[in-house]
Amino acid sequence: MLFHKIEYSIKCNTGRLMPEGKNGFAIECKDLVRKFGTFTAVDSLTLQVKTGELFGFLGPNGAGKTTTINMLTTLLSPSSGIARVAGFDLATQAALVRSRIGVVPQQFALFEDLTPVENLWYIGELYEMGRGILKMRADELLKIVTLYDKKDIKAGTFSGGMKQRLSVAASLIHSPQILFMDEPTTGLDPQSRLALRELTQKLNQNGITIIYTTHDMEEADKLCQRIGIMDKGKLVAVGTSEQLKSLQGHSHSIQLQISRHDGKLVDELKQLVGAVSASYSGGTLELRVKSLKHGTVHTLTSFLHRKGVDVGDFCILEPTLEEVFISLTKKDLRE
Amino acid sequence: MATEKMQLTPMHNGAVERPIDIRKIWAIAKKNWMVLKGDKIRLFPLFLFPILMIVVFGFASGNTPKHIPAGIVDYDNSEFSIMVRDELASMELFSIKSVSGTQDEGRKLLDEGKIKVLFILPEKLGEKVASASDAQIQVMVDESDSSVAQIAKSSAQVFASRLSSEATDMRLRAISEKSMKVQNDIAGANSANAPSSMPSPSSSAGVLMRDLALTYSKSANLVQSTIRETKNSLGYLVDQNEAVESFSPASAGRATISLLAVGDQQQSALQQIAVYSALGGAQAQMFKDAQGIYADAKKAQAQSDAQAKSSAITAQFLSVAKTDAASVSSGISAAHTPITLEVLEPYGYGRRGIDFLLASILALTIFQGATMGLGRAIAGERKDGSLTRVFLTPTSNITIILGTQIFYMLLETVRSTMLILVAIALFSVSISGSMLDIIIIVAIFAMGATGVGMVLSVLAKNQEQYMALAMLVSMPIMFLSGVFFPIQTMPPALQTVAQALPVNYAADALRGIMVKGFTLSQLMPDIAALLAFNALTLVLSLLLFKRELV
Repeated sequence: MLFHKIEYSIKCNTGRLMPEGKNGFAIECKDLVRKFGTFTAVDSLTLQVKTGELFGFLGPNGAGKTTTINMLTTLLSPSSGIARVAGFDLATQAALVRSRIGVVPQQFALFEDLTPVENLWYIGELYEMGRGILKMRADELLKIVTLYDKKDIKAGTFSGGMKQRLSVAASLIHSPQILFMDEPTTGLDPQSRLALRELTQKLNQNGITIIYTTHDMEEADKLCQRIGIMDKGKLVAVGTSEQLKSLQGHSHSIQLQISRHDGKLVDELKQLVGAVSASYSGGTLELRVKSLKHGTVHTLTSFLHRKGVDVGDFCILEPTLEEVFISLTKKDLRE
Repeated sequence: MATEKMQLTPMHNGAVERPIDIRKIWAIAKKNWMVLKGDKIRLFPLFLFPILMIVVFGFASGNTPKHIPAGIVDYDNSEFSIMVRDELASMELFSIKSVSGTQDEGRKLLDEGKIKVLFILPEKLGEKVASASDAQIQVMVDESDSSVAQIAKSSAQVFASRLSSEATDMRLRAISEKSMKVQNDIAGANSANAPSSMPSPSSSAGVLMRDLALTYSKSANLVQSTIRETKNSLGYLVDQNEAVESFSPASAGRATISLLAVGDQQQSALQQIAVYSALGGAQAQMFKDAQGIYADAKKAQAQSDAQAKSSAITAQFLSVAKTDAASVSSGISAAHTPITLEVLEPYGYGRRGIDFLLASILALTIFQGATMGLGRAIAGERKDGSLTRVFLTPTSNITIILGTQIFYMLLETVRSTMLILVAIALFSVSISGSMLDIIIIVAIFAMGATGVGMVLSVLAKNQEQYMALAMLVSMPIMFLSGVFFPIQTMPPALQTVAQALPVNYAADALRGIMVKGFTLSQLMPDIAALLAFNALTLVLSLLLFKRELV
């Protein structure tokens, strides 16, 4: 376990301080556009993220996730559109936004010539934190990300995973209400990845709104309460994992290896289980059903047995986010 | 920046964003120091550089070369040419390596690099000098070593002038003798009171007149050209040190030329100028007197021709002519009386080149250090991503710029102070004014110099781009700073540019304190110009600063 238990350590002060959005939204944006020359990186993005939510941006590389994050964190100005982050207007109240958000950027954005503790102190000073609180909090965070024993070693000598952990600590130094994490697990080993996901969940449980981008669909599925799928600068779908999967029109697919098949048999099987669609390829029949009723499998196997059809391997699959993604973007992930 | 209104709403941790936040400026400066402190390989040369700079300049500048290898080709081999050879050999500047009979032999040595200067004494040199006809000495200088060549040429020029003046002196003595004879003739004519026995004063006055006119025109040209040449060759040091006020046209007789705070090597050359300008004046006076005599003698003769008898009028004219002739004699004696030269040193005794150059070296070191050193500041941090972290905090652009710049300004101030201390320790440079005033000027200028670096750093996207831009700025300014090449030898347009450069304003102010003991209140125009420049760079870097990740 790379990260300590953090049940009480992350003291987030969302509860006792200014409400984020008056209407309970941490982030609201409307028709947000960012162009680079003639290229539109983000195209009319309209989105609302509720306070306390763990929201994921899912999309292939170049989908516009990072550009969106950069705009929402005041690092890029939108070409058009409006956005409020933590209840403040991005264009006119950038400083107020900055003081309320923490960001784990894609590149670590650390001072590699400084030690972890110097990094945290310096960043904390730029948030105008008092010396006493800053020292306490820096030590606390370094313990959480298990870098306390390396607090006096230059950050430049760290591994990618260690730098990422320090970057997380740096983004939390000022107790932000909203935490943006831009592909934080990219390039990490499986252990670090798991640990970082756990930390992310703990932070969220402590009341921090988290915006998380990834191109790992499994990660988004497991971690995020709601997911926005982005492609070519556009938000193509937003919802919970289940909602997105239901876009596929079925809840389960039953796959059967059968010894023979014909059109009549397939139609009969479709009717039998009430499948919305069926397909056959390479000896495997796939039947997609809206809901899986009790005894469906038994009904199927006994029917085929009666028909004299041998059944080999069979399995029942739930739709994956990948299927949703591919059907939405008509392409596979580029990575 | 423009869109960020000043918000005074307390942040959740009690912080507010101010446009200029002293605490954050200090935090940024401190962070830069911590980064530098940890980087020994960067730290060491940074502080070694100013020491090296002053050591190199201290030893390399200010000393005239001695014993430049020289050769002589003597076609004349007369008493005079041997005298010339001996004189050359006695000069400390030249070390005579060979005396040859033909120019080819001498040329060969020059080509081989064994000698740098070749003096050629042509045939009949002695005869020509004795007969008051045009004589010429040639000098061939190896131009490939320009600084030695420069010195050798001007020294050869001075040497030739000295020879000429000796020749002129000889001729003047001859004229003086003739003038005495005219006086005697006139006196004789007067006492005899018999025009018939008068040994034609007009003819002897005519000869005198002709000789004088010839000598005068030659020596006048010589004097003028010598003054011009010497002044040109000295121009660098003279103007560099603002030393020579102006040459007051010397009148006949004694003259004092004030030389203000001149390095010791320049004094002898300037003395030469003083002698020549005075000599010129004396000769002009003589010429005028001689004209008077000539006119008087003419009148006397006309009188005596008309009246054919001695008369009171003739006596009167003759007495006037006698007075004039006496004046010629005294003019001539004044001409070879050495002119006294009084050297005034209002800025202290024994000032050397390094004392004057130190201010320029200091200003240049600051400028170079600042323009070369800020690549890391914004451009480097932008590239390595750490600037992103700063952008994410509620820190205004001006605070980021000022914090970074103040660190580098302090760094340059410390480096410059080291440079001055080393100059004092190693070269006993004396500082007339207050050290605190110097540090204040250094700090003001360092802010402008780092301002230039900052403008480049906000323009560049990485350190490579920064270096390319920095070279573009620093190279020309290095050569326009007057440290390597005298500003006075540049074309007028370039001189105007050079004089407008902040580096030269700073050098001017620093020289004022170091050499003349000025206080800050006496340097207000310089300070105002430097402050205006600081403001300009700050505004520029703010305008060019992009708080975006592109």
